[in-house]
Amino acid sequence: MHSHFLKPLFFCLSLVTMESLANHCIYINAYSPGYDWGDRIQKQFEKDAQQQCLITPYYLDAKHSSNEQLKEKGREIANLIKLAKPNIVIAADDASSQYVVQPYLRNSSIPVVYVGINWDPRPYGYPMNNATGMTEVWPRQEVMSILRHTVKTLTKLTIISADNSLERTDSRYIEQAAQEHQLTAESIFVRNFNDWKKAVVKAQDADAIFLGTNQGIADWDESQAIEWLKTHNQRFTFASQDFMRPYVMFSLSKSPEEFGSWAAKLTTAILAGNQPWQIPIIPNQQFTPYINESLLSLTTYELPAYIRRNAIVYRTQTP
Amino acid sequence: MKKIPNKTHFPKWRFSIAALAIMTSAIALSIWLAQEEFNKNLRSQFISFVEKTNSEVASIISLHQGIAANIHTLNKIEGEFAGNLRSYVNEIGKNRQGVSFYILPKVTDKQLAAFEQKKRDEGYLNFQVLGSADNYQQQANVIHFPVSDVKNDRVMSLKHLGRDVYSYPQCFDAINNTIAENRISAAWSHSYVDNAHGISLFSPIYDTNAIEQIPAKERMQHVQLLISSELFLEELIDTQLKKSIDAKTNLTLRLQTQRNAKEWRTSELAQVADERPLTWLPSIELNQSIRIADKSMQLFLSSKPSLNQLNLVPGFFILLIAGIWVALIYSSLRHKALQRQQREEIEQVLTDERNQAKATLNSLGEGVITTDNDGRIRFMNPKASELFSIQWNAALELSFKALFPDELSDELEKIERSLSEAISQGTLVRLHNIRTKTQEGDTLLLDVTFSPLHKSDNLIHGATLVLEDVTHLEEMRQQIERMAKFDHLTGLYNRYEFEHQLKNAILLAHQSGQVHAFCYLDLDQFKVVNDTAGHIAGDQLLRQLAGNVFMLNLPDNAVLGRLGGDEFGLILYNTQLAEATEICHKLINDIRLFIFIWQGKRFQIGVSIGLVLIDQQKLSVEQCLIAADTACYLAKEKGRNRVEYASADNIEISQRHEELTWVERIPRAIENGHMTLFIQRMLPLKKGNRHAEVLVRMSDEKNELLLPSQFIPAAERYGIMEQIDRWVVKTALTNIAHLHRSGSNDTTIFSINLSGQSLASEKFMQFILQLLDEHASLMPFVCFEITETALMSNLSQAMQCMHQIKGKGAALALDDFGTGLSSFAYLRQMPIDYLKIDGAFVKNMHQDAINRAIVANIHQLSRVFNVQTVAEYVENKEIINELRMIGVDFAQGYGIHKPEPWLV
Repeated sequence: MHSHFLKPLFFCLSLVTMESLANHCIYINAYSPGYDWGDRIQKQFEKDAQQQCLITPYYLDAKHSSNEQLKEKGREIANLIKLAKPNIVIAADDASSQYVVQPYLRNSSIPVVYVGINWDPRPYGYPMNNATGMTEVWPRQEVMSILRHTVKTLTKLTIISADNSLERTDSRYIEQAAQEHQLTAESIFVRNFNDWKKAVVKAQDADAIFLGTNQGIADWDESQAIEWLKTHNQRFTFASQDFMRPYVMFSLSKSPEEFGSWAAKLTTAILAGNQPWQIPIIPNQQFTPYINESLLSLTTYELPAYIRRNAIVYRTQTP
Repeated sequence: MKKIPNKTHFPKWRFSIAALAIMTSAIALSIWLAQEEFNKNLRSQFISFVEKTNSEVASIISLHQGIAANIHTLNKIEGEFAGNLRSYVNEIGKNRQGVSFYILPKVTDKQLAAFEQKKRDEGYLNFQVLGSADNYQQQANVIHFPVSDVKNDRVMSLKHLGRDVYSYPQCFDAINNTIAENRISAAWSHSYVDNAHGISLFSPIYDTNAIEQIPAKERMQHVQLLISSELFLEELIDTQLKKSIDAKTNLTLRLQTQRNAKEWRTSELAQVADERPLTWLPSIELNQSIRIADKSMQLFLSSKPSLNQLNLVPGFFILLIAGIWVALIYSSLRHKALQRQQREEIEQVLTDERNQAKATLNSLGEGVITTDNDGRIRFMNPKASELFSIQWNAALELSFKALFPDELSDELEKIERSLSEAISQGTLVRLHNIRTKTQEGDTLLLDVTFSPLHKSDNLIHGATLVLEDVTHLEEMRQQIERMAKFDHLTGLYNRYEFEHQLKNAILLAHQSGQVHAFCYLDLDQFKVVNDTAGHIAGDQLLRQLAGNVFMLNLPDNAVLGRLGGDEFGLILYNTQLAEATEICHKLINDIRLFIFIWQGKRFQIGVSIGLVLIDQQKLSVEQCLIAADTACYLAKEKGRNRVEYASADNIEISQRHEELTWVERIPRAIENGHMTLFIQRMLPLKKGNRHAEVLVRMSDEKNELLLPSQFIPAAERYGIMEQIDRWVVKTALTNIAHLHRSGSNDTTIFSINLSGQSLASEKFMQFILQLLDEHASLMPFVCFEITETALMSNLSQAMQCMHQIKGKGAALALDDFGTGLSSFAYLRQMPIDYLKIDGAFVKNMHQDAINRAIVANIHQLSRVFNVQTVAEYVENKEIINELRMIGVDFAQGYGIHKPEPWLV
């Protein structure tokens, strides 16, 4: 608890120097330090924007906080923002907008840049006059095209993922895309490794398996997971996160750096005098194809030639 | 460096203007070169800039074509996968400066709403297709080409999302063209975006590979999408400008398109132009065209350099060279000015010298004539004109010989020969006593010096003749010569000449066997005349006696001379003893009968004669004189007015007797203190020290004083003068020393007489030099007098002694000058300080013009030799006045101071 009292104090002390030094940016990281995705966005932002403003980061730690805790943290951070009157606030990932921007900064005088809101920012009150940003999407339609090209008898898609709200949203959008491609889609959410293994076995009735994030799956064992997939899976597997590359044959990975970099560009544009509403909200556009040759080689699946030409070939390091 | 005087011929103003012009030109040239170099660099940079811009544009166009081709290929192979276009375009366009790439899908009216929704679902949250004009909604557009995807590097390009590019008129045409013709077309893009200086390129992507087979009008149906590239010209230019042109360059850049113009200045270009441009310099104006597809534009650049951008190194060298040039010109002009000045100075000096030479020549006492090699007169000075009584212009071109009378053929021959010798041999030739005649017929004697006349070519171009009128000098020489032979008072031979005659007679007797007689005559009672009537009377007596008695009564074969005082010598050639005795008796009788009357007083004198026969006996002149003198002395002792013959036997006896007499008497007198020093003071006629002559007197056994004339001749004759001189010098120096020791301020210079005999004695000289060393401090007060006769008897020895004495610091005086003037020519060599003019010339000079002239000439001569003069025998004021007028320095004589004992 003591940190709750000290933070405002340190922050106020830092304001004395910040005021006179440079522009001030408050960066709200939805996660805690150490979470790879959030860290990479923040790191890229700090790298690109450090010349533009003095950056004060705040962390919501959404992965380990309850809804109530997140509300409290959001309120606390909002108070500090009102006190500090920063030149701009960067809200990274959904929780930042959900617990800080939407309740406290919507249409305020403080410009807001958001990045990493999954699929649709409208639930968090966007668009706003004082905000712009980059929505996190995944080219599900294009991936469906790749699936159709690779898996000749494609009728059913199974989605296996950790059980949390973001994964459920993701699976909904993928199911929707699958349905648009006349596929049957089924989602299996698991909370532990054993269930995950069972889900893999069960998913053998489908033609392709989308592995969502393993973040939040207890007792996850990487080597066992790989071995399990090698021995119990004959279906085409794919993923959207690059940290899932060891477990799938193909992944089209989003780049967290794209969000960090774009947040910095928007910050620069806004600090240069552009109004946020003048800048359209756009989706992320950089995706990197990976082929896990150690898994794919066990099957007869053949990815499209243009994918093979452009993809990064990956080999699982077996322990 | 020699300073140029204020008034010179150095063209200061002209040089200053020229130097200013040169340096200004050099500076201008330096600046021009520096700016040319700057311009050249800038031109090169500008061309490089334009080339890079063109290259960048070409690269963008190439990229644009590449994107189009690749998408077309992808569509052909992976026709169902359109989604990869977005990431592909982004990847290609990533970090590309100055351009944005867009995807413009063809959307029909019917598809529009679904398309917008689809884009929103993809994440373009507020995606909406927008037209260009207000009446967009009213237009019956059935086809749209909205910007559906934007390269995400450029935030502000996102503003174009949803723009229906096809709705813009200029893009409408360009799109129609590109679709119809299947090639890149371009449109000014400013009307649909804020990019005021953008150009949009369009390329179509069809749904078929066989588009070329489809008519142009139908190709719109087969278009799937357009690839559009928007070039941001300002950004492109800025980027390339920074890469190509020196950041410190001040410049103005203007982009002129068909639609409008944009101007950049240095600050806008973020150039570091922290130095002010040199506004007074002309600016460089450059322009180049850039063409993008079918659009062209002009770039105009204007710039002026700042000082630091000018490379002044070449200018420095130019200035250095100009400076050196100016310095060289200055040096040359200065050198010329100095040369001119020096030439003028030399000319001035030459003019002055010529004038001086002319004045000198005009004022010269000598005539100067220059002739050519043929002896023709080229120049003649006034004196020469006067000498020859001819105007110089009349003499011009005349032969030098023509100036001389024809009858003087000998002289003419000499002249011609000398002139020829001087010219041919280049030597100096002198002719003495060349005779010529004046217009009035008077004879002139000339000394002529012929000098070869060298000119600058070192060749002889004639001769210079210096003509000195020596007529007067010759007369004087002859007079002096006479004086050297003859006694001035009586006109008889003087002692010197008489001894010469005696020597000849002896020689003649030896050679011919003839017998001659020599008589020594000593007047009796002459002292009485002198003492009672004075020297003048005595002189008059002697003069009358010589003229009226001797000359009238002597035979023709007689030669008579005055040997000194009242003593005469007579040589009777070819005369035997009897005849000689007879002649002597007749003389005695004639003299006895001669009555001398002086101022009413009558004086009768007599004569004692000593006779010697000169035959083949080998008697010397001295022996003859001694013999005759002794005989004469015997005649006096035997009662005067008689003749005493000295035979050979008698001579020897007499000689012995006399020698014993004087040899005993003089040393005895010295030993017994019978020698006494007297002094006779001199009168300085000008400012100067006091002088006094030290005289010696001897008293006889009766304690009566003997005059020097009584014992000095005898002492000289018998060789005991050295003893007298030793005593006199020693006693005189002792006296002077005593005088100075006594504290007297007397600075009188005492003159001590030295005899010829003493001078000839080495022992005496050792004695006297030692004595002088002992009294070295007294030397400024000591002067030694040497008689001219003594000097001439042994000139070389005497000269050596004089130099030795002079070396000790004592002064020297030449005594009795004029009595033996053969020494005249040696005056130059003698280290003498005083010249004592013989009293014979002085004592009646106020009455005798010739004597006065002689005194004056001797004084003038002494001036030439820088010697002071002392006149002896000065007996009255008239003489003193005359001496003053002539300029003689000292006077000595009874009229000034009678000798008195030197009492110390």
